[in-house]
Amino acid sequence: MELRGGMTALDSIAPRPLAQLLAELDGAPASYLRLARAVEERAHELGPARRVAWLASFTTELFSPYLAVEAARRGLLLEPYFAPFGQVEQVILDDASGLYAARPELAILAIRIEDTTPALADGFLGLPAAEVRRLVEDHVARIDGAVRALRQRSAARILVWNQPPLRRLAAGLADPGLELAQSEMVAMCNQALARRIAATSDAYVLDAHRVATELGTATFYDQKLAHLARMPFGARAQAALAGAIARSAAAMWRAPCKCLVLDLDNTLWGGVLGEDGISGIALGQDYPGSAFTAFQRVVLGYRDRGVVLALASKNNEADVVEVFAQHAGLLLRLDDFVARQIHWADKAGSLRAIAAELNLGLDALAFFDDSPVERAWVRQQLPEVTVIEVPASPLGYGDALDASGAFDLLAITREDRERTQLYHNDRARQRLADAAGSVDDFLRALGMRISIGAVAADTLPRVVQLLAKTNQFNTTTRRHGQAELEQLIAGGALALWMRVEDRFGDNGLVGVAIAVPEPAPAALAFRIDSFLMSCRVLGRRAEHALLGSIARRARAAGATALVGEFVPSKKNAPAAGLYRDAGFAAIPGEPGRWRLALGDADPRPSDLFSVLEVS
Amino acid sequence: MTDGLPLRVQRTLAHVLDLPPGEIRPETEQKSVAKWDSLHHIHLIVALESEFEVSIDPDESLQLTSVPAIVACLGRLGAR
Repeated sequence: MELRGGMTALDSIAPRPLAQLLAELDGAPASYLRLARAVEERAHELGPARRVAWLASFTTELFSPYLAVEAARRGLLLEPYFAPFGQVEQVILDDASGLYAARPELAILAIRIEDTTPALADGFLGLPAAEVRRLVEDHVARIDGAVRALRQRSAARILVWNQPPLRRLAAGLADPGLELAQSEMVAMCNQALARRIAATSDAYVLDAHRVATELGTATFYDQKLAHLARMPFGARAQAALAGAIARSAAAMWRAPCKCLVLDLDNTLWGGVLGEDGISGIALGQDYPGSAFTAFQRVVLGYRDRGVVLALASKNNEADVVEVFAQHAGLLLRLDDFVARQIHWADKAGSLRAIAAELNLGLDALAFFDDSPVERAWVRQQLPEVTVIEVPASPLGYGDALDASGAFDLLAITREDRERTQLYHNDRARQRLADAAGSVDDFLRALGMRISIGAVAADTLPRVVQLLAKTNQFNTTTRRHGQAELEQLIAGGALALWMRVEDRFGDNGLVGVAIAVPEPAPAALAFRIDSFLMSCRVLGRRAEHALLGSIARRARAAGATALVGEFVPSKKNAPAAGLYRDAGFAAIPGEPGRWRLALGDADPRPSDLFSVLEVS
Repeated sequence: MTDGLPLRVQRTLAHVLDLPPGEIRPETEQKSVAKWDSLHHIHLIVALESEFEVSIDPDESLQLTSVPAIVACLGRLGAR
């Protein structure tokens, strides 16, 4: 018998970079074990390790190689701590436990009904429906209690597993006909859990139920491992669960892409428009056109959850406009693309132009093109762009886009869902700017209405999202999570949000400032820990409205000075001049620190906008 | 690949235990290798099943405590 895949690969592992080795993963457990060694040896290629704690009602140590490899595939290095299995509450409630000594940045909480409440599994038929409901409620309350207790003691992000489908149904074939079916009990449990968890900051559901569904319960569960090692899940399930955890972790610590740049020929329709003509391209109800139509539906779904769409196609623009106007099979409309580069010049240039037009960094772009040549070119020219690996058949396009995780968000906010409209408003503003005589004329003509308020429960998710993903106008790029931010506020920090509206519409919540009272000797000053604005409102002087509000509030709290910090990053040059422009003085001998004495007058009022202090 | 079963078992074992291939010999037993604990034993069984495309009976998997025992078991299960 020939050896499969990787065994020979290990012998040649030494000189190659980790990313190349990881591409050889074939999904077999042996392949994970081998690559886990490679991850350990090349840890330095992944940057600093993130500390992860496992808290579970079953043993979890066996997950180690799978999680190490899956995390590395998402560019993360994880350092696990395993709490003794079945002692979740004891470990969380004991301030002296190894859990807190491990100082986790992420806690994975996995508590199964089979372990806490076996009666709901095999004993299901012995329970009246009311008792089932009570036991489910107890189970959910127990998990929620553990989450809350953990949150009181740690700022770690928390990932809470929901309940996978049970391995066997007590009533067998008759389950769907029960007054309360056992599968319905699981769904009830998961719905209740998701609602309860949402009340705790930085706690998210890991959809173990979905992982099991994708794999099938026959593969998901493994009796031998369950009995020999108290590990309920088979090797492939461990790999899939580890993959889901790694993906969630990446979404916690990485800014997602914002714009999906699509090709047209053989990507959004079959065939080449320039050769096949409008009637020759494949789109519609029958294969192969149906595969492209299906992919367009997937793309529309991405638009609806807040991904901005753009086109980069080598075609005659007039031909493309004609297709969008006349072809009945196109579900996407030209208007769905907020930026369009349709010409015969190089695609790396098109991507640069799209980033510039939308005021995004190149790392906010994900590129989807069926041509391996274009992908390789963009990868080589613009390493910051996420280039999605596209399979040969259009039947796999949607799955490839999903699997890339390029747009993964753990929570979707109102701003996300309205983003395409926001970008269209931007284009209208651009036309006004082109017509205006001076910048001030343009800003006045915009009629900006700025509202500012203190961060509270309703604004917290969007504020945390902005902290996590704003790169350009961001003075310190401190990625505070929800729990950390709540701690800062509890400690007396001023945390403000800013919304900007104008005649073209509402830009949404686009600015955040956090100012922290300085420790005792300098107690009369507030230090501006974070100050950031979405690129959507750059160049509108709105930052001065937000700074003015901090100054007023700091003064009201008894402060006599503000201290501004600037911590340079690769991308935050746009914010470098913030404090100087606002009249702060550089503090001698302290590079990157600025000071403003708070007199009686407000810092520079402006006639360019109106400001409403909401709360 | 023309390596015989014993050599491939030794290599799988070395990979799972993260030891240099030379440290696992044709006669190596679990009790003489400190790293070969119960956790690694489970990883070993999973790795053997995946690498040799066999399914090992639970009782038998607990008795695979040496290279010769593993080779004999895999031979019986049709791995070559």
